[in-house]
Amino acid sequence: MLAVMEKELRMFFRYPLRVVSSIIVGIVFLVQFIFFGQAVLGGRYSSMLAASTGMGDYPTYALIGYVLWWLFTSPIEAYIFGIRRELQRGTLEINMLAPLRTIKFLIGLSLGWILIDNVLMGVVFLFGVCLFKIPLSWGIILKAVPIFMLAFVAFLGFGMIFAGLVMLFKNIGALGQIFEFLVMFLSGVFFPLNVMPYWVRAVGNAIPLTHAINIVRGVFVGKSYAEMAPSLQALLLLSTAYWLISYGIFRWAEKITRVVGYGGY
Amino acid sequence: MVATELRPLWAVMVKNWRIFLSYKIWFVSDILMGLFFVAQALLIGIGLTGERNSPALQKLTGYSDYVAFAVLGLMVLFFGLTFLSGFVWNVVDELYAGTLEYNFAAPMRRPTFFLGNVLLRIVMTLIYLIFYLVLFKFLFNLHLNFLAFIKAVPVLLIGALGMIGLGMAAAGVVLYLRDPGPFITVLEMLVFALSGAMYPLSILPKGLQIMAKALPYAPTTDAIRKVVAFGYGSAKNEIVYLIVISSVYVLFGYVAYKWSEKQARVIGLKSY
Repeated sequence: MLAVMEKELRMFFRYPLRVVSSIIVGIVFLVQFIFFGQAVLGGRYSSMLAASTGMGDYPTYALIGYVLWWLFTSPIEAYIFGIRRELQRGTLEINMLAPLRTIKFLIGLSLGWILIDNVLMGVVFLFGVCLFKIPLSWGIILKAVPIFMLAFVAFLGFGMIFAGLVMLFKNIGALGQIFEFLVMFLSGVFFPLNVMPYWVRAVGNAIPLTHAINIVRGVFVGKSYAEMAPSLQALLLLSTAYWLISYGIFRWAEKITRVVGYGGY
Repeated sequence: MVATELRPLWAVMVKNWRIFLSYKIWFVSDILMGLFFVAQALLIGIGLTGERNSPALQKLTGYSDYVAFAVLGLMVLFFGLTFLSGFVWNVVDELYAGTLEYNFAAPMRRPTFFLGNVLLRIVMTLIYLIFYLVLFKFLFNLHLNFLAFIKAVPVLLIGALGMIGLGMAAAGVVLYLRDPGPFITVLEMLVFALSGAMYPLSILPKGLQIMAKALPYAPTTDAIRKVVAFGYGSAKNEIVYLIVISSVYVLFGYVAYKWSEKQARVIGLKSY
């Protein structure tokens, strides 16, 4: 697995401009919506947002949502584009023949990308904190880190669903990106969910990102874990459920691809 | 001369159309991208203010309907990015596929090759924009004076000249890079951030405002928004500035591209 990770890291850093471009894409995407919100508000504080979510400072609200959304999409992209890159290079079947289990190869492939992606996300987060003067303290960081870790376990399980799908359908990059953007609307990344119809909120509640965002925003406004118990329970429950579902899908996809082959790009 | 170039021009357009058709999901993702930004704008606005109009935005720009403000800006941006992507992404794709040198060796003039790439994208973008206008009218109850919008088309064409110039200069740079994809992404993102599509430039730090004014996109957006809202009389200064900056970019783009092409003839193209 380490060898697979090392291979991915070496290939990524072979083109240093890609590092810069990934960071700039992340920053531009973030500032578009925060600047838009500030222009509409004529400032950074929204009493309406505070009333509906408990957090009135829009840059803080949007930055938390965006960073967690990035963390959520990281495993999905890792599985989809990791496999796609191997297919494009024509190296997937050769790597599948290597003396390691398929699941280990896929996890190594995705962990390499996730590592890179999370470092990039950290840089964008720090940039956002400095640019928008987000109030950040060690207390908040220490309290938020376990939530980030718990959320990441849930997101990994969720992303595994795509590992199974990509083995079956190969080129699902566009589908994956459509899904990622859709999640922005369902999980309240840039706007409060109370503006959405009830059924949309219900769907959003089945996505672990929605609860992770609620908890971390709660941490930023000084809520205790006990006050956020319903969201914590939902996150734990969804984490278990998605790991079971994704493992089932993956095993099924693996069984089918052993018969029909991995195919080319 | 013109007649002999029409056939290869048509051939380049047909080639690109066939490539486009072989990935039909692009239609869906292209349409969804515009929908995504406008829907986000609407929901952010409602979530933050509870209303469809923003007095703060009106004070800054003269537009109180933030959806109309964002739609106009995004339409100019999408139109403008067509030139950048037409000139540059096609060169990048040909480099990646290893077919650029063959195409450059084909019996057609170089501008014909670039024009063929850009024309198809312009046609596609215009279709998307018309589709967006109708869709947003129904979906988001968009309030735009369509007559005023049509009146602003000459301003868009002046801005397009500057955008073509920037696209040509970028195409020149691309010939030199070993892995040009990330360079183009950085350029596109800078254009996106500094175009003033989603927010007024006055909200940006001073340094970024100057950078935004130095590119042809934000001045085009500013002039169009002013013409649509207040007419040509009020937009005189913006139009004069746009004419100046577009002229500079046309000249710069032509000189930069010719120079890099001359260099590439000596040192060869960097294939991927």
